[in-house]
Amino acid sequence: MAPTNVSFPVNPSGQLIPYNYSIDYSPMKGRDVLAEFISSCQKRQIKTGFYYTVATNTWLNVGSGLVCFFFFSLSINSYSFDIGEK
Amino acid sequence: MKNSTLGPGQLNITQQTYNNIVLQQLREIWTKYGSLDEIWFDGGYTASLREPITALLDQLQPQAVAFGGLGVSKNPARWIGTEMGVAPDPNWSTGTTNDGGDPNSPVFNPAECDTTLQTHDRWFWVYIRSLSSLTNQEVILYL
Repeated sequence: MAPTNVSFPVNPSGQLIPYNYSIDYSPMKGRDVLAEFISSCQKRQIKTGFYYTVATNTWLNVGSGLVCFFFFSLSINSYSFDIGEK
Repeated sequence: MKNSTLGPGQLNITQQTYNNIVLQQLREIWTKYGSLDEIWFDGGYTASLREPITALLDQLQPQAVAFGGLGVSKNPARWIGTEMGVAPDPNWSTGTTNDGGDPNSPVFNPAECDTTLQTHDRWFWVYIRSLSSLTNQEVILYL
């Protein structure tokens, strides 16, 4: 959802690719909907929150903060969005 | 080996690359949206990210309450241990465990009692789940 300018190398080629799991690769390219959301809420004194987890990233095969976690725990992968992971 | 185990669309990266992505994106979202009241470390953080996250948090959002942030923040809050909206009684503001806390602990780390609007501990919308009843929501709110 959030715009991001991060690029990173894939393994093993080292090819640099943009972090494209982002709104800038959708039809809403160029709009910061998080900033619009905050601005809209502030008009009515509504506090806001975002969800960003450092622990899970299915695109990059990350679970519990570790790359390739799901390779060892396939059964957990299918429930990872279902349980409250604390 | 790693390539052959990836699902469709998944990318192969190293742990160091992932850590770098996380730290760069934390910097982005902790810089662009003003002062944050609270930051959730849902699922915690890995040992290798503890020191850099601590430094980044202290630099960019030192005022934020950090849920699950014991070890990276001066203002941590702990999980109450369930997502049912009900806390143990007694419930102390000190302690490090995900329960009613510990009156003898020197660590100020009050509990947060998060819960869902849907039944069955379901955060994200799924058509087979229904909303928790209004009565139940009111009971939880006033407990």
